[in-house]
Parts: sequence; C-alpha cells; structure tokens
Amino acid sequence: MRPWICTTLGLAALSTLLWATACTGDIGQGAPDDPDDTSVTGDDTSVSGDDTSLTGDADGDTSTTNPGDTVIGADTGQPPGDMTGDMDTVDPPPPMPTVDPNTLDQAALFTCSAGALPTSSPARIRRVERRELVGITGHPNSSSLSRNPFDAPLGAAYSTYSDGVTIDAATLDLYLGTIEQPGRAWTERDAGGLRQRRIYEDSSIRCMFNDAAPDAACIDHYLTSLLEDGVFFRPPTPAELDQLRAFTEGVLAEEATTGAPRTDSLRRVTSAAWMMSGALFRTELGEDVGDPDGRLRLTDHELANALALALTDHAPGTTGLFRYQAGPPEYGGSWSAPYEGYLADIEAAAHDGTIQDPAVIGSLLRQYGGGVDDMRYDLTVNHDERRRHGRGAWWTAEKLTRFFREWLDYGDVALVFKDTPAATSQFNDPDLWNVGAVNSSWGNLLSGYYGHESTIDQQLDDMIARIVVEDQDVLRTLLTTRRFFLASTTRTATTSYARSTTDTQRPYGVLVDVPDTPEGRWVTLPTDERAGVLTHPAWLAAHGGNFEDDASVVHRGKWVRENLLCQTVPPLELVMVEAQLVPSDPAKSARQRIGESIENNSECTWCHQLMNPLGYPFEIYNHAGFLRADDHGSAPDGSSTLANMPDPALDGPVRDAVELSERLADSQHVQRCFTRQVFRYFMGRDETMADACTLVAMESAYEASDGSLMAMVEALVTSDTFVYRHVAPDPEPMP
Amino acid sequence: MTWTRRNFLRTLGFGAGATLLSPFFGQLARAQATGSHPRRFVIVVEGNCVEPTTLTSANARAAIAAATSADLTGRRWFSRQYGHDTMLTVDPGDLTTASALDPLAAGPSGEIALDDHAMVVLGLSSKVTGGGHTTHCGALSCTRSTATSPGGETIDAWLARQPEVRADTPFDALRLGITAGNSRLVYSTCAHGAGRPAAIVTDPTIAFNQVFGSVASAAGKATFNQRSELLDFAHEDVTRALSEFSGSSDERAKLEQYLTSLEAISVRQQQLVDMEATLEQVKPDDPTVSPLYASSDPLDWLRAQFEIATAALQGGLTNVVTIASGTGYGFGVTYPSLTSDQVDRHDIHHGSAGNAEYLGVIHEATRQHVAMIARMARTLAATPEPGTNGSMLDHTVILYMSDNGEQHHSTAEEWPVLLVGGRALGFQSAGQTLVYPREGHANNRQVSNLFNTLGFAAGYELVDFGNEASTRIAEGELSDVWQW
Repeated sequence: MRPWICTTLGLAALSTLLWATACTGDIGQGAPDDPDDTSVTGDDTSVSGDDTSLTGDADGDTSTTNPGDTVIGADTGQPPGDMTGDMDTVDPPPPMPTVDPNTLDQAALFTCSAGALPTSSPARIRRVERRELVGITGHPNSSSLSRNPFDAPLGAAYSTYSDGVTIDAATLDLYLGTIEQPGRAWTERDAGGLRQRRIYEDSSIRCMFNDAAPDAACIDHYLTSLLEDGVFFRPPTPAELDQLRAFTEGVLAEEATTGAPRTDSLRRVTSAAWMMSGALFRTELGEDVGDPDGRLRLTDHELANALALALTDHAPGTTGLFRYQAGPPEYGGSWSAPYEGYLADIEAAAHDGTIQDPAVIGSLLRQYGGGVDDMRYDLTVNHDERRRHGRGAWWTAEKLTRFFREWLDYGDVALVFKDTPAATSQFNDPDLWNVGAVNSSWGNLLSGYYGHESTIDQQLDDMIARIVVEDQDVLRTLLTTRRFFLASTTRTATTSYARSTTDTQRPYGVLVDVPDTPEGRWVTLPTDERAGVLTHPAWLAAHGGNFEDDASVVHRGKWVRENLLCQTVPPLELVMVEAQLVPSDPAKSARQRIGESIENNSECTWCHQLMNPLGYPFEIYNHAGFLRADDHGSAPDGSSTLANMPDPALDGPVRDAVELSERLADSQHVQRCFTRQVFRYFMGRDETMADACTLVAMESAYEASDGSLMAMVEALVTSDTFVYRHVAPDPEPMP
Repeated sequence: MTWTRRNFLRTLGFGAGATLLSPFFGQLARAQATGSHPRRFVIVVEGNCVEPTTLTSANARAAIAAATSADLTGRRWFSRQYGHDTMLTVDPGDLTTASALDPLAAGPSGEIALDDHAMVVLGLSSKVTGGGHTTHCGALSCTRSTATSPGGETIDAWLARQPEVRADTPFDALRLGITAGNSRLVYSTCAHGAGRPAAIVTDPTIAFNQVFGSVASAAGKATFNQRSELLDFAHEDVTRALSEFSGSSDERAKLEQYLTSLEAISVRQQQLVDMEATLEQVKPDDPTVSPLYASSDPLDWLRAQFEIATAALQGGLTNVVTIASGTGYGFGVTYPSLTSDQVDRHDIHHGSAGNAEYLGVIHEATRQHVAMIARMARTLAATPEPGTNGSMLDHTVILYMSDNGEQHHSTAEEWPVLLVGGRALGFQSAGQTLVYPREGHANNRQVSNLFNTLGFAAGYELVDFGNEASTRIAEGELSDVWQW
C-alpha cells in the first residue's frame, strides 16, 4: 500500500458539507500481494471490548467527548472508567470490520479451486434486530414494541450483520421499558388489539388464563407453548423450562396471597421469558453430525430460523394477528396467517427434519420469497385496504425488500432535506406549472400523510418487487428498466388536500395524470430519460444534496464506486484538510462549482477521481431526482469519461446516467459485485476468500437460470456456507 | 472587570487559536467555576410551537419595531419583519410583561421573582429541521428527522454522556412528558444518534415508579422489585447459558456483555435502594395520593412529571432532564382546563385565526408551561447547592423551546427560547431579551449555537452540533447568552 494524504471534496451525511480526506494511492480493489494472506479474509471482525463507557448511550458508543472537544474544567482525578463508580457499565464499541471487504480481490473471490477446503461459516449467536422482535412476536408496526432499542448498529454494512452486536446497559434499560410488550399477547386469551390466533383459538392453554390454581400439567403446557411458539421458536431445553417453571410457580404463589389479576402474573412470566438469552440471541452454533472435516451442521430449528429470518421478520410459526375482515379468505378472512402461523411449512420442515434437504429449502425459499397478489395480503397487518389498493401487485418478503433498500440505500430518502425540490426542472416554472402543488406533492411523496397512495420509497420497492418476482435477468432489468411504479394522481383529485397528491408524477417527468388503476400506475418512461433504479427519483434524492447546486455528484458517484463496483473510497474519518466548494452562484451549476473546486486541484483529484466521473452522469437530474430542464443557463450536462475502471468495458465517454446504467448492466464485474452484496446481506457477514466456492456457485446459478435472483439466493441458502459452522479460533493474545 | 474565559481570550487576542492553551484554561476554569459541583440541564420542549409573541416583552417588541420599517401593530408573528442587522439587546426590567412570562414575577404568596434569573432569546433559526407541525427529533438534534428515524443525537443525549455532567448520578438522563393518545413511551423527541431514538416516558406513574419505585407505595415498590426480580432471573439464565456455551470467544463476549448489562442495571437498582433516605426526603407525592396522576387533564400529568423531575434533581438522581409536552406526532393534546371544547391542539391552532378563545388557549398553554418551569426553578432556588453559596438553580439551567419553531406550520425560521437559572454555569440570565437578525441574515444565529452553548456550560468546547453542514451560519456558542 502507498498511503499518502490528499485533500479532497466529499460527502457528509445528508449534507453538502465538503470534506477533505486522506486517500490512498491504491485506488480500486486491494489486490493483496499474497492471495493466501488470511488477514484479509474478514472471517473475524473482532471487536475490542476493553474500553469502558460512562455513558449509557444506546449505541454502545464508548466515546465520552466528541473528537476535538476540549474538556473545560474537567478534573476528577479518576480515570474515565472510574467516573461512575459501581454504576459504570462496560459497553463495547460498535462493531467495526477490521477489513473492508471491498479491498478483496474480486477475481480471486470468484475462483473456486479444485482442492478448496469444504466451506462453513463461523458459529455465532445473533441478537434479535428491532424489526425482527416486532415480527416474531406478531405485533403490528404501530405497536409501541416497534420502538424497541434493538436497531442494528449504524456502522454495520447491513442490518443483518451480527458481529459484536449485543445488549449494552443503555439498550437493556430501554428494553426494560418495553419488557411487557413482547409477550403481551400471551397474558390473556384476547389481548385487545393484539388478539393472536394460536392463543385465541388454542383451548389447551386456557387453563392458564382461567383456572384459579393451574395444575402442574397446565403450567408446563402453557410454558412450553409460550417458549416454543412465542419466544424461542424451538423447543426449550429442560433447564430453560425448569427455570421458568420455578419462576412461574413463585409468581402464582404470590398471586394467591396478593390477589393480583392473572394477567399481571402472566405479564411477569412472559416478561421473564423475554429476558432469557434464548429469546434475545438466536443461535447458529450447529451440532456435531460426524462431518469428516469437523464442521458443525445447523440443527433443524437453527436452520429453519436462519432461513425464515433471512427472508422475513417472522419466525417459523409466528402466530397471526386478528384484522377484522382484512385478511385473506383462505385464512378465515380476519387473520393475517393460518392457524399454524407464518412460514408454517418452514416450521413443519424443522419438526420433521426435511429442512436439511436442499430441495426443500429451495422450495420454501420460493414459496415465501415473493409473489403476485392484487390484494397485497402480505401487508394486512400494517396497511389497511385503502393503502394496499395503491400498491403494486408484486410483493417480496420483508427481508428481500429490505436488501434492496439497504443496498441501494434509499429507505431514508425522507430524511434528506430538499430545498426547492423541482429546482432547474420544467416544473419549477410558475408560468407553466402549479409549483406549489409540485412542492406539496413532493412532500407527500416522502411522508404519505395525505391520501392513501404510495410514498416514493414504496414506489421503488414495488418497482423492484416486480423485477424480482418476474425473476429474469434481474440485475440487468434493475439497471435498465423503463417501467416505473407511480402513485395515482386522480384518486384524490377532488379532496381538500389535492395539491399534495395531484403532482406526485412530476419527479418522474410525467406530464399526464396517473389513473387509479392497477395497470395505470405502471408507467413506461422515455428511454432517453430514465433507466432503472439509479435513475429513480427515490434513489437520486436519497443520494442527492440539499440544494440543486450541491455536490450530489460526489454522493452518487461514491455509492456507485462502493456498491456496484465493490471498490473502496477512503473514509471520512481520514479527512485531514478542510475543503470548500466555491460559493453558490446563480450563474454556476453544481457541475461548475465542483469543477472549479476540485478538478483543477491536484490535492483533491486522487480521491475524487473515484467518485466524480461516476457521479457526473447523474447531473441531468437535480438533487431530488427531477430531470433538469435548464442548468443555470446551459443545457443539462451528464457527460463524463470513465477511465481505469475495474472492468475495461466500462471505460470511455458516457453521455449521461441512462447510458451509464446500461453500461453497468452489461458488466460482469458489476454482476459479481451484486453477488457479493447478496451474500453479505443474506449471510449477515462480509464475504471472505474462504467463501469463493459459494460465490462461484451463486454466480453459476444466476447465469444458468437466465439471471434469477431466487436461484442465486437458493444457491447461497443451500450451500455449506449457510448450513455448516465452525468455531472461529480465538485471536492471538496481544504481546 | 470580571475575568471570564471569553474576555480573557479577547484581551490576549488569541481568538480561535486559544484552544492551543486548553490545559491552562482547563485549570482556569476549574479555579473559577463550578469545580466538581453539578452541572444540570433541564430541557422543556413544547410540541407544535411556542409563539414568539408570548415571550416578547413590551420593551422587546418596541425595540424590534423600532428597528424595522414594517408595521408590527397587531402582528402575531413578526420574525420575517425583523429589520435589524446586529443582535438587539433589550435590557432587563419588563420581561414579565410578555404574555406567558408573568409566572416569573414575584407572587403574592411569597414566590420569589425569577425574571432576573431568566433570559429570552429570539431570532434563532433551524431550517435544517424542516419545520412543519413537528420536527420530531430534529429540534434537539439540529438534523432532518422523521417520525420513525432521528437524524442525529439530540443535545440531551449528548449532555447525558458527558462525564462532567453525568458524575455519579444513577440516571444519565430522565426523559418525561405527555403525549396525545395512549402511548406510554414516545420516541419522537430524543435520540442517542441517527436512527436511535431515546424513549420519553409519557405515563407519570411509570416514571414515578422508575425513579422513586424503591421508596414508593406498595404497588410502586412491587413494580420496582419486579424489575429487580427480572434482572435476577435473566442473570441466572445467562449465567447458565454461558456455562454451556460452545462458541468462540467473540460470540461468548456477546452474552458476557448482556450479563454485564444486567449487573449494571441491578447495581443502579441497588443504588436507588441505598439512596432510600434521600429519595424519601425528596420524593413527590405518590401517584396513589397525588391528584395529578388521576386527573383527566394532560396538563396535570405534565405537572406530575415536573414534580418527578424536580425531585430527581434535588435527590441527585440525574443531571439531565428532558420534559416534552405533546411533541412529535403526539401534539394533538387537549386542554380541558383551558377550554370546554374537546378540541385538540391541532384544531385549536387551525381555528385560532378567527377565534380569540382558541388563540388564548394556545398562549395560555405556553404560560402554563412557564408556570411549571417557574415552580421547578423556585424549588431549586430554595435548595442550597452543597459546598457553595448559591442555590441549585444557579447550577441548573432550564431551557424552554418548541419542537418545531414559531407556529403551527412552522417555517423553522424563528425558535423563541426562554432560559432560566444556570448563572453559576456561566449563563448571563438577568432578565434581558436578545433578538438576533432574521433568518437569512449573516448575523442570524441558529438553535445549534444554543446547543453549543449548553455544551460549553457543560464544560466542553462543543463548537459544532447537528447536521446543518453548509447551512451552518457560524460555529460555537452564543457569547451573549453564556460567558466564562
């Protein structure tokens, strides 16, 4: 490596702040000198737990001051770790990968040697994630449980990553504030708005709700059901059951003397269950099955949970929720799932052991991965019929949807402030358009506050879902489709809030109304204006600045470099020198401002050459994704010249983002990067050199199936990498 | 001349380079200041606006009018008419003529005057937050936030994690409030970081039991003890799980951390038990006794939360408090004690243009909040700060602001602020009003600067805060609000 320092212009989250960063001369992928160097395998993203925290902040941040803060008058005479005495908590730092997987040699990653060792993954335990806790307990998103503190760390590449993810004191403190929620449905037969099917209909557990003094058999049956069907989603161990039984007997004995209501007693019992390590940490430790290479195979229930939670937020058998006349007819009309629960066939396959059959896994993957449903019953719990009416018929399982949201990073588009969203587009001309309605509609595209049509991120969700469900040449279609899903602009045209709904098509450049019909919401956009997800306003806005002349170029180019080319841009924390864009000027476009600030400044170009050429093509759109009509007196200019790209076929002049997307779609390098992203998300960890054969299998499955994403994912979840584990060796002690 | 850190720097002419001398100034600060005395911060956030007119005294309004060519007569909002180019300073003397500030005046029952411990700041902007009905966590984080995702760490969370502030208090922060609807926890105002909301307890009974449960009524003690019981139960389970664990040391560390966390919370539980005598001394009336908890008036629930917070400060349970009144999407609070109409705040606002009663309700709600602040401040003022000649109020600053700015549909251009107390922390509260030039002017200042000021008062040079990036006007504290 040839580290050196340069000044560069770059990104600050959601801002146009310019930064200077250290960057490396080794642009692009790392190409390690020694391909056998295990230090870059990334198997072990070790986390130091030595630091102590005084803080109680929920993210486990150990820092007590911000970088650069100077403590005034701070003299405690104690080391930081002693500040709070006995109350001090030892919170680990957020997980930080020791190796950026983008530095791995992609060609080597896709080389499966004939003599390669059998693969497996490190045995692990995975703390429940915030949305998973809501899903596996059968709560709706409107439940206060949805604000539980188990968010994935911000530093993690994907929310599925589990390295270093645990429960620090502040997280536990917040969790205790919601501790009665996860098991609330199990405290009485009908927990009001949380009526759950198995609990409501299973007469065998009612003795626990109704009997003044439940006998031992009743208690055992209730607790076993609670743990297996409502908490662990595996049979409890005898020790776990014994401990909870003893606790329950104590609570009931106390109840007999205090006269406390049974629901209060069961609230204590279910709260205790939800404090257990088995409730909060899902195991993927595996068991000895006599593998000649000493690997451990996931147990039936571990594999079932791993598959279920790779696809959805539900556990196998999570019981359905009552929604009056809102559920699918085959479930009785008012339940969100059959009696057996969500993913019932995965649960059944765990019980009969067939889950270990790769063909069964593949079948289950396709069964629950997505489909077509005009009624969108998959949204029953969280969206009423009016909202579902405004969605596309193609649906994908939650985690599949979330993969694209996290990879493309558009889920937080509503957080990115946009000054004058339609600036420089034709829709900002008050002589031609109702600019107020355009702006109001933009706001409503983000919030969905008025009416019942989809938000802009949901529109991208639905566009992607159709591509995934149709499952042909998925990546190419993602990058080149002209078929976009929009909100109807006529559905609420006569309401008092119509100005917030009648111009939601403008960010797409659509001049006519979008009818209130399923097919009418699918709009084919001009081939010279849009091509795929990178030209979708949701993506463009999520990766755009606050103002139209901001450095959106850098945001967008950086994303492409890191997430479609799997290469590395030096991180913000290495910034060494401040840099500034030249001041905003009505006569200057963003492109001009960036050019004046960076392109002639050799200190900047080393890093910005990684980003800017890939970002300039998107300058035909403004910061919010509107097609520019006039860029400060000149025609919009998306031209760029790509050079030294990891795939030589990408080199050369490019007209704009449309041509760039089409070129990216043709690149095998990009396809391999996409495969790596799929691996990362669904495995919940970075890829390593040891995963090469699995990556090759994923690639082969994709190509042999004419670009089926399901085939690619199936190759992963049936691979030894997914189903086998090994115990990672302890790190060498520090000298 | 009183030597403050600021004028010392100016005298030496070091300016921004003074941070090079930080160690020296650290000693200077220690010598002059609070030493190891507590630095307390109370942030009271009113959901869905504080109208600036309610905090504007007659003299302040006259000064603003004199500096603009616009006619402000009868104007409900006037920040866009600000004509001044430099900050206006309105001398102390008539602060309590502002419609919501008379609770700061000396009272007929011997209430001490607080106006000379208070300061109003007008003209702060926070455009990055977006305005609207609410900015959610944006108000306290100076970021763009949504209902479900904070854009960054809020100032209360920042303060709470500073050792100089936390000291040895059992709670890093208390977050209490009220909200429309039935939620007992709301996550719309405070955050530990981007995407990491911090819960506000909106049920005062729960809050009471969390803080004073160890010395509460039988029911409260039962709840407190049940939490200890859960911690013990989980401790046993995790200990067993660890004894059987077969994974790597890194994976094992996850369970060990959980065990450590269980122990830490248990220690706090025990710490609260050990502080029983203190808690008994300061605890407010129990929910089973106090009429506030059983009231149907949300303002009474808020009074209960103020009582809990005040007692917690007195008892040394925490040094950071946030009290949120109908923030986030919970702003649809009703005021049965202020109007007989069962209309929530949203509709009251929409009806207020042509309805004097509704306008009065809005302004009276603000006044009631100030009255609660005044009650807290007087209690603290009557409590000596151990080891000093001053009171707890001198070591406590109470900040009152809204979560969206100046009006129901805020532009985020004007965030009126009331500060009370904190004089020993460096706050220059003496009854004055400061009015910064309007948003868009180079001399406008932002809410983030106010939070920088809190950071300085906490003992840290918090020169940046939030996510304003290129829209940040100036870095650092408001030197006319706080000086060292």
